[in-house]
Amino acid sequence: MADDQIVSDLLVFIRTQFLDGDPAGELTDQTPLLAWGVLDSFKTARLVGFIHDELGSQIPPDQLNASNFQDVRSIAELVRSNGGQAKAAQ
Amino acid sequence: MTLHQLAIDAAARHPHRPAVAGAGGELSYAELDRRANALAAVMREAGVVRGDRVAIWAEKSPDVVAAMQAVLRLGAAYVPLDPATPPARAATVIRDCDARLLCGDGPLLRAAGDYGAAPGTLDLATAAAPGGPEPVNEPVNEPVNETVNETAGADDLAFILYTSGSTGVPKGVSISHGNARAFVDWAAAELAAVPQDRFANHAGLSFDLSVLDIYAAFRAGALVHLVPNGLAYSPRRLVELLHEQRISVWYSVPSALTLMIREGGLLERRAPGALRAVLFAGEPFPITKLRELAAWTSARLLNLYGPTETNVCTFHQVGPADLERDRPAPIGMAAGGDTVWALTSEGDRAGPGEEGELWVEGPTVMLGYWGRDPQKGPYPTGDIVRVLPDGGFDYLGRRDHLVKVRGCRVELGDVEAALAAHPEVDEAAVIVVGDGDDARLEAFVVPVSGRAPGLLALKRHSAERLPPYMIADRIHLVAGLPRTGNGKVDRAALGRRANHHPAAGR
Repeated sequence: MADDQIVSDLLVFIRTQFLDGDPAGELTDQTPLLAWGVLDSFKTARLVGFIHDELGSQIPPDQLNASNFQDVRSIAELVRSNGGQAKAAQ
Repeated sequence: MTLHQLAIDAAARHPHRPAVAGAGGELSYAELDRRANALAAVMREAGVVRGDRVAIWAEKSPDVVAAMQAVLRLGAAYVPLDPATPPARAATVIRDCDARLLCGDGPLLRAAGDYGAAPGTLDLATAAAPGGPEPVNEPVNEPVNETVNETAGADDLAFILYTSGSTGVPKGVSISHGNARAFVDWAAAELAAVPQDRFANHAGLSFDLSVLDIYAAFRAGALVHLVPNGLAYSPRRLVELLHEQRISVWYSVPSALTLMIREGGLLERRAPGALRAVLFAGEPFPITKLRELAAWTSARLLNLYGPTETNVCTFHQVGPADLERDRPAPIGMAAGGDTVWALTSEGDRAGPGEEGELWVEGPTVMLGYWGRDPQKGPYPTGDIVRVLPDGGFDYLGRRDHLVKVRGCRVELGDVEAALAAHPEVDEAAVIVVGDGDDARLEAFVVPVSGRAPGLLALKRHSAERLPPYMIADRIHLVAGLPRTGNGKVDRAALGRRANHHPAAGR
């Protein structure tokens, strides 16, 4: 459940910050974010800032790699394994 | 002299000094040398020979830098790819340069295969030490490989940097050993680099800024600290790194520095005593922020200029008089043994006070674009400059629709063409909104009648054709594009519309 909440927090952030609210409702937790050009290095940094500030998880530099950021599901797993929590759970 | 001779010489002179550090540890020059030789042996085994290209698609690490040296030591050329490059685009580049080998991180290697780019692959995690992965910070007891050091002529290819190119057709800037050495030797001399220096490498390895960080450090026997790709725009982490790693020479796009000032608290701490030079290039540095930076540190502030095709071809050291002006610092005078001049629209050489396009001739000018005719004679930059009384130049703007977003070159026509190639799109126009670290690409898309393509669908479509920094951030679906009197798209009107109709998000 906590994991689902993290997924939903990440989806909301990406939708509002990078997808103009995703009016067509296209984003899912398995959308390939790098392959489809949703994340670049600048946007990834903003996402990492959000994860640190809002979900309380500091991602070590060696885990900031393409495979950990391929989709929302893998990012949620990364957040959880680094002690992050959903906003509602804090 | 070859580019790879720099690290080989440094290993002989300063074997125990640190050469390269980053995620995954640190390598001394002796370790870097051994690892480069070991990787060269593995690559040779995989069939790489003199004159080949080897694509490198990986997160930055000391091992990746060793792999670049290994490729050069075999007389081959490396083609670095940003790890965030969408696989379809990476596969296009790998095919375009006809790479003999793709070298990098396992997941990326598999992704390239999925998209039909299938040269031999070399997983760096397992390749460096035969018999399995080995953390780079362990004591080195590797078998001693023979030194691999193929000679290369000044005009032999050293690396290819892919930049903005027409849709689907990547444009590889081919840089020779002679081009790179002219630039690196100039930079190391201008900086008076010494073994005690600690260079920060902020730019990705596929960008030309990284050439200075890595090879000026090697030339001096100094350290280069690799900023992980994922931290490049994390302002607080960058400020921490600057202090903790006691960086003495920092080089980045101005956007990274302005972000560190605005959101990273850069100026709230005392300037680190080790910091002696701050270099920036790729776009104009807003003068207000440059004044703040100059007031904060006594380090030399150097504005470097040059398209990827020419490496750095002019530079200027920021002085008090520059800070009193209300425009960005000059791009200065010729560097790297080049000759630069401006031609007016009438084709005359521009004198002081006059404007014209900047032309460059000299040793740092590229061999040409990969697979196309060689570059012959002087190179027209497409940049409009004004000649200053001292013979230096002020940058004024572009003569075409090439723009810079956080230092990355974006050809708006390519972004538009990629969007227009989508089956549900009739027409598209793209503009840049905002500037500096806040710049973004906004597209105005006229859909085919009755269709409403989604933002994600259009991004996906673009990502298969363009590098990640050229994908539109925001897309407005519109009934038609505004036109000027002569029928051209009215970009000024689009700019006003973008500002008046902020879509959701920022």
